[in-house]
Amino acid sequence: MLRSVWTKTLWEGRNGIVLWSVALAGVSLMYALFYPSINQESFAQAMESFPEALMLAFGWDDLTSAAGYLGSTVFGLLAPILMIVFAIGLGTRAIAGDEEAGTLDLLLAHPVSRARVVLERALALAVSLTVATLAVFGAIVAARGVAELDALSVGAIAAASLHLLLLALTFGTLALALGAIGGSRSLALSGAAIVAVLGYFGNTIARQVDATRWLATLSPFRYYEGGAPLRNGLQVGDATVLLVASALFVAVAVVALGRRDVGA
Amino acid sequence: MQHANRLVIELTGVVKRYGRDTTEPPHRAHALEPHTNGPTGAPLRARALDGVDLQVRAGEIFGFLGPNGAGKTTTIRLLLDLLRPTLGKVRVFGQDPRSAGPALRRRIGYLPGDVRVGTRQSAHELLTHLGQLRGGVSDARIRSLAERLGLDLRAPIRRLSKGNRQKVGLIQAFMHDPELLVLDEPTSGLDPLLQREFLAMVREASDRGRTVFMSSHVLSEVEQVADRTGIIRDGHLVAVESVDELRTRAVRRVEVVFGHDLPDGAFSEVSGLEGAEVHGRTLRGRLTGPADSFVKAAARHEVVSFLAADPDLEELFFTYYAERGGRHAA
Repeated sequence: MLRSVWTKTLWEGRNGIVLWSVALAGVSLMYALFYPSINQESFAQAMESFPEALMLAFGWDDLTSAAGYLGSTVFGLLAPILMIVFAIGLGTRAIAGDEEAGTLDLLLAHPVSRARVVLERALALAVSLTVATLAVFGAIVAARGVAELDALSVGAIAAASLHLLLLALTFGTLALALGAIGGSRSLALSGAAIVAVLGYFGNTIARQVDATRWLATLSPFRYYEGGAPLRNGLQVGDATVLLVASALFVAVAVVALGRRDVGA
Repeated sequence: MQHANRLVIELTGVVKRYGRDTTEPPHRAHALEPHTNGPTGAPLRARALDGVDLQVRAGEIFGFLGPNGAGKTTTIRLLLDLLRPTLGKVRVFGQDPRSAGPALRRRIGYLPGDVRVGTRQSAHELLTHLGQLRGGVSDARIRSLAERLGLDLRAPIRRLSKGNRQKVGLIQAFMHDPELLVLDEPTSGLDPLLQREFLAMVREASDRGRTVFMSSHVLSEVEQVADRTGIIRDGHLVAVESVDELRTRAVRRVEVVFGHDLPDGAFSEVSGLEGAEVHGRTLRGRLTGPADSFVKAAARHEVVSFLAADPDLEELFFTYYAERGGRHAA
């Protein structure tokens, strides 16, 4: 566990990984088990009385189907929010947090290159997020049989989970890159959080109006749920966009940290 | 010492400026010259080092002296490529720290000025990890150093005192027996017994042909081990001297109590003694250079007590400034 920077980072973050995974699994399980009470005629009728624009804005357009329900609850709101918060926290800590705490100094004085530190920290971020994503995936697959969710294939749940992982990875690597550029925890944290909030509302609001629909293409959320992976399976193009964006942020982090003074 | 004349550290015309960054840690911020305005009215960037030339030879113990904030830490961080010079050339083992990268740092042991490792892990875990990053350091080596400095390896690092964190820092700097030790204020937080142990470790490293570059703001500790010392203040290297030379320049406050009242003007003609004041049986003054004539003059009377304080670094700097016609007078 102590041989390399990334295993050490994971080892130190093990408590966080476990806690977030348990929380994510718990929330997912809770919502999935709640589905049978919504999957009823009376609930569908009640939903018809809501204004359509509101339903669309919150993605509640199809709340009674298994895919619609999980798409607007677990995958629509809670899991992405929790995953993004977890990812931004990890991404911020990866460089900026370590630098502000004064601990990056000692590491970089050892025979490891700055590029290697960034890459290994990004790897640790990806592994941590994968574990948390597997917790969501596992919880929903486990609830599938008992909660009348068998209309969903395991493959569809896996596809939605993969999109979830890539969305979180995008924001995590963004925070990492901002931290590598500025060396400031608050800048990395607030920068990535602002992009997340703007991205979320940009995606849901912009797509309702033809004139602003193109704006949604700038939002990571468009590539997360735009192709409805829970219904349509893995969206290779969308997933690639998120993966390329993450890789780009890591590359920016490598270049930025390589060019500047550390801890100055 | 077959490489006695090889240069291990070479700084040529090194200037380092920091950006006007409000996040600058205070310990560095107060080090800087006051902000002055450039021709355009824009504040010039603060200057931490202002044209430093310095050479350290292989096998040497070099003491780097200066008050807090003089530029010692900046110089040290330049050697490890944590900072890059604004102007000038930095060479360690003849290589540029920036381009030589990890291969060069493998040969260096570094003790940061403030050892900070904020984790739950034990000291043993951290030291093993840092050893692995260096390609592996034997457990026996870590344990023997810990035993020597009296460090409990099982204790979680976060709960260690300043002194114990300093021990962790020293162990990781020494454990791979590096060719060059770069130590920033190595004795801060160590009690006198451990300071002595540390100085012994430095001497042993030197006996094995290692080069040691250590900073301090305390003259007496550098004096005990160093071959040569560089004196830095406000980003200027004021002087590089052998320790013997430094000792002859050092100003010591002396206070002698005699067994009887002293006649008027008893010590007014003693060479090296300045500002002599006699109050009844007590003589106070500042002694510079060889103490011989003062001691012999005192010996003519009955001496009850004799006190010579540690040389004061500020006073030492003052003698250099005075000599230079106050060019850098503060």
